[in-house]
Amino acid sequence: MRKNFDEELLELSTLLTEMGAAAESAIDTVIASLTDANSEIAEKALAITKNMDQMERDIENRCLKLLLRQQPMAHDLRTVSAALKMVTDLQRIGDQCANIAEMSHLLTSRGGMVKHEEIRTMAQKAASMVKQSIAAYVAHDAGAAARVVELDDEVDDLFLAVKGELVELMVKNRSQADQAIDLIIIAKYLERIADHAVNIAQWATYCVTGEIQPTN
Amino acid sequence: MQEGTIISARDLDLYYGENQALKKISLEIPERQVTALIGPSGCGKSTFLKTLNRMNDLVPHVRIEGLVEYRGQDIYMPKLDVTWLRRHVGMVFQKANPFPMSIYDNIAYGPRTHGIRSRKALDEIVERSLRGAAIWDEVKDRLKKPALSLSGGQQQRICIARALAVEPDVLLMDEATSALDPISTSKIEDLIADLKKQYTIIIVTHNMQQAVRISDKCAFFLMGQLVEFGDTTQLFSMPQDKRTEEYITGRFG
Repeated sequence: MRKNFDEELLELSTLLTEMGAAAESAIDTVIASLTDANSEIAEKALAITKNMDQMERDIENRCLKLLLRQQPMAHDLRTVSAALKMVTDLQRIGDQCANIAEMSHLLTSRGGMVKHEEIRTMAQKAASMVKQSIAAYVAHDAGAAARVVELDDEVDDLFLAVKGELVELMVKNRSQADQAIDLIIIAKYLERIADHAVNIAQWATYCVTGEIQPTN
Repeated sequence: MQEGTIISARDLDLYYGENQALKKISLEIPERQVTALIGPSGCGKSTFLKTLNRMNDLVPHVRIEGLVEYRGQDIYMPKLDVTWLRRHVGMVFQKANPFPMSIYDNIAYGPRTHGIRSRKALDEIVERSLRGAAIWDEVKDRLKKPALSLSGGQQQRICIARALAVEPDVLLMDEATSALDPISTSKIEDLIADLKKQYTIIIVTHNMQQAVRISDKCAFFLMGQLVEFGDTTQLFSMPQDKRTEEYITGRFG
């Protein structure tokens, strides 16, 4: 019974995992383009995010088709509707990476950037949150999803630390003010990426418990 | 009995001879809401529906234990007037079964048996019932035509109008749309949504999407037992019992 439907649900999980991996890779690539001041790598990041737009449309179409044809109930309904919501967050993560890639171009054209360890740490944490949130959905693991939500505080703290540091830099050294502002914007994008990972984790929780969590 | 409950079953057992068809069913039906009974064939949902206006009395070798109350009245007490019960708890069946007489006489049949003779009063009842069943506009110019000349969907609405003519409190519907096309089905579903402002409706349906669309509460029956009863949206999005989950997601059997 319902062999096809189960296969299609499995495929949906696989596609979401692939899109999650693309998001991770977009974050890693765009940060590499910043640290290396390399426009080619920034282009590569942009190409990944373009591909993510296509993935989003594909997953959306599949979800809508499943809703129409299978009229899912109970856990199936939660699985498909959560996927439909999560894919939007993944796509937004792609958008944020594209924004960072544009900034990366700008910074590179101005002659490279200062190495900024906290921004790299933020990016690593955000990428890891994306990965863990999708894994929580695939494994139906509400505990793992809850841990992603907790990690968000670390990224928020890092953002505040980075911001404080860069404001200080601007005060001390006006010639670096432009670059400092750009870095604050990049840090903000990364902080938003972590928020999207939290949304994804909350949809993974919904999939298990049926409870829609309040937005933060 | 909880407040807002119109019909309540307590520890209801029903046997067809040796065969137990209902096992300790306890269920409170809320007033002026739509309650859907779902479950696989032979689970007892139709049997349960029929106990609510004693249609099972007609089945040989049937034995009932436990309590069913309509507005606090034990409907299986020996002196109960079954006609009184069925006037208050009406029924519409799977297959439209209009009487082989005119549309008008179909609707006037019940009120006449309850002693209403005045032409004016009957005219009013017929019009009100046909309007209530959302079929007045389609038949008002041919009330003298045989009800059997109408389409299946129209016949079913005539049967609903006939049930409404005696001003019942509760309407039982046993697979009332399963023989109808989607347009007629949708008309009857709309009608049910309107009727619940005034009546309590209990439906048996094999169509789970229909249960989701039109019911407020839903009861899942399995092998004569009530497995789960709750808000329809809750039951279909986050069922509490594994067997409910398995049934509604088609993982059964």
